[in-house]
Amino acid sequence: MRTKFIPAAAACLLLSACADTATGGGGGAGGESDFPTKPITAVVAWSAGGGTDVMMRAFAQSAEDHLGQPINVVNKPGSSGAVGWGEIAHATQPDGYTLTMVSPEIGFLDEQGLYDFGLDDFTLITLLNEDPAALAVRADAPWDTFEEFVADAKADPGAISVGNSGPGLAWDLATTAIERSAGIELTHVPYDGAAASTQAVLGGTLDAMAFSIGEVHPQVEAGEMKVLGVALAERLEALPNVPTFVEQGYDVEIGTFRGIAGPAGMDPEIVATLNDAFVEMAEEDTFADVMENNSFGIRVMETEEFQPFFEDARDLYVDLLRESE
Amino acid sequence: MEIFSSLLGGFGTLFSSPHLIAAIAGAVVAGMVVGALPGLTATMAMALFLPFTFLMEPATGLAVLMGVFAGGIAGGSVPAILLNVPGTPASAATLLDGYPMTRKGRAGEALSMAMFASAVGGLVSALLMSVLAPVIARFALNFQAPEFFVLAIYGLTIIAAVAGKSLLKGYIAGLIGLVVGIVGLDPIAGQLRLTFGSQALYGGISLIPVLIGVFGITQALVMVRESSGVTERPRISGRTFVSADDLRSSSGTLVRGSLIGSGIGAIPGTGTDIGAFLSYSEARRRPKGRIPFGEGNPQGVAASESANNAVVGGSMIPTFTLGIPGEAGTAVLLGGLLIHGLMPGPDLFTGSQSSLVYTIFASFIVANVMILLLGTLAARLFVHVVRVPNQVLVPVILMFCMVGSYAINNRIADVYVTVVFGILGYFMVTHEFPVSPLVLGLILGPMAETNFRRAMTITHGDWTIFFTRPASLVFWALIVLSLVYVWRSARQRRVQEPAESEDSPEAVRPT
Repeated sequence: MRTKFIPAAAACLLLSACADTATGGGGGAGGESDFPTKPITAVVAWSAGGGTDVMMRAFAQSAEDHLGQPINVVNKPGSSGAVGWGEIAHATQPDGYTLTMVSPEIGFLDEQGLYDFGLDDFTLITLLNEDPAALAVRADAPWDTFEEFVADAKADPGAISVGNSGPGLAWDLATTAIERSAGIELTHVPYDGAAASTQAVLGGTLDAMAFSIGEVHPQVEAGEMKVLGVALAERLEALPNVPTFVEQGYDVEIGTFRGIAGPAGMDPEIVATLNDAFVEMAEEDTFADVMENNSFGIRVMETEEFQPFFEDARDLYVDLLRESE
Repeated sequence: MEIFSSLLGGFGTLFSSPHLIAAIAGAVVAGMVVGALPGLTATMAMALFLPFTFLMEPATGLAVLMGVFAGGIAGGSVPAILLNVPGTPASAATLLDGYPMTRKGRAGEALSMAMFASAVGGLVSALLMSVLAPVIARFALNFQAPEFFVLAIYGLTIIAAVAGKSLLKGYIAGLIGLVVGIVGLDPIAGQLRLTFGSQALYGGISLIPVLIGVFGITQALVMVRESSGVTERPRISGRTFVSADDLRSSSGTLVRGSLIGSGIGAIPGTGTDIGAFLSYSEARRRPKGRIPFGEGNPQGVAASESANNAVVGGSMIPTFTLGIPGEAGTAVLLGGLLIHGLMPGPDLFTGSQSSLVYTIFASFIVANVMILLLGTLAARLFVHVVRVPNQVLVPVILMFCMVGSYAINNRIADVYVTVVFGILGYFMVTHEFPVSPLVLGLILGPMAETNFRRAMTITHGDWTIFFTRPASLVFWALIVLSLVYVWRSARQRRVQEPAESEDSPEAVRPT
């Protein structure tokens, strides 16, 4: 199966390259208007059932109609995403038939020697989601504002424990960003994901957790937890009563995001075809409903904006990573 | 009781729409098939079904997910009993007595006992879940890093129960498992350990490829060795359903297994495998009946299978009431709940959506009844697998092991892990080392280490936290009891040794 696929993909690439030269790159090349002519593979670098997997499957189901070809979701988890993304970065033809869903990790985990690839090994296509970090505590915690939290943290440096999803990963760095903006010192405690961290906060062993707002949203709705700050420029529409760090005078804007990408070196025409389809798809209710029900924030950004946006995020993360070391 | 009328309402909804019943039956069968294939887990089946449930009515969609989940865990017992290869980690303890039953011609009884026990475990946990969910959920929240550490240490004392003849060899196997669990990215400090520069090992060595290796591949190699010698083929006795006598003597085990499973399930962060092993080791401590444990005692099957399906029901408690999924399967279920606009929390049971919640409970109960009906029916077919000659069976087992270990993550590295551990398992077995302690070490080692270090991080190095919390103290007491029991039975064994040493010529198999 695989051995057949690669020559086919190569042939396809060759054909599209010929089409390009034939039209002299004068735009509207005939070859690309046919794209896609066969099913697309969408690689999830995480296990089935996780956040990225749910989003990718919702995306695949909605995007199929816009591309006129089936999108097959394949999970290639392992080594904190290094397996699935590594395959895209190093061993995949940039023909548009193999795509993946990327998140900030591809920008900074090479910094720690965990990945042997980086942002430059991908062609970014469309941003679909952004979830800001939120600092959440139990509903009966002694702090009602971030100000009060900071005062206590200053009084006894390191006494307050904050849960995250793993050392050097996004939420650990978000905690570092919070520390930096307020000049405080917190104890970072890694957990196996948001659920385990939530359990520790509700059970009272952990003082706070820094995770995506979506992960704590159900607990906030149920009145079990409260959010001291969201790391976003403006308040969220879904949670109008939750303050941002910025409005409380602390410059923390950080979070995670997910978008569709392919291997580096994709044909701009194919990227444009895909981007148009994805942007159209993201405006529809079917995709929006799934995103909303899973508390995923929708943020659509087209190809031209996505690249600089990701570079800025990478710089911030790398900066925080160096600081925390 | 208001709860029972709500539950009856749930059944009403269910039985007034035949398509719902049919959907559950289909889901149970699909779950059982997937669960019976090594490497394909109930979680994977649920994740694959999830997108389809988006399109269904909420009640149907969630009923299907429940059916797949329960069926998947029950289905894992089929290859464990017939071939000594667990279909999912949940059935790793089932084979300890299930396969010896098959070797003694009692495959039909073992399978029906497994299905019966699964159904009982599922039903008991479903009832507990319907009646006590909010209370249990609050209680389970007391389970934190210090408790997880002590629980894992308690779990390691189970090694004595599954060690077989030599305690020392059991502990050596357990240590191998602990070391295997260290490989990869250290979960607290983010350092790489024992990866030898190989990126394939960064994420560590995962449980399922190891499990398929030490049971599946090892078993196939043992069969190759057997078929070159003279062995008699296992017969199939006329009996296809477990005897009333066995059911009666197992009733205590079934109830205890169901309660242990429900309790373990209610604690987020544990799982079906831990529940089954705890229940098995607990059962061993009771009067043994006519057949010793490890040599085909139906109670061993009852203990493991009642507990693992009870974990499924139990794990819904924190998922529904707190929105905290206990393990991967319930995480998928939580996704399903959210998709259909159900917000977990205590309100779920009293708010406007409560009728839907009770329909879900009712469908879980129906799914467990289906397991009993369809499972025992299918068992009559499955038993014929033991008639298949080794020349055919061995290549088929090997193929399923390879495909299964690849299918977990679509990763060839996992297949290598399976082969390496299969060969290691073969040498362990031929030198009378049990492999179950290795599996236990791999399950519990990372749990013990991570939670120990997590607790120490939070307390800034104050270790008294492991002794000052009530739930931890209970487990310390259990650890002491367990060790005293091990010491006493080891002494008894030494006295009986000469009389017992020559039994069971067919003992060569991965246990």
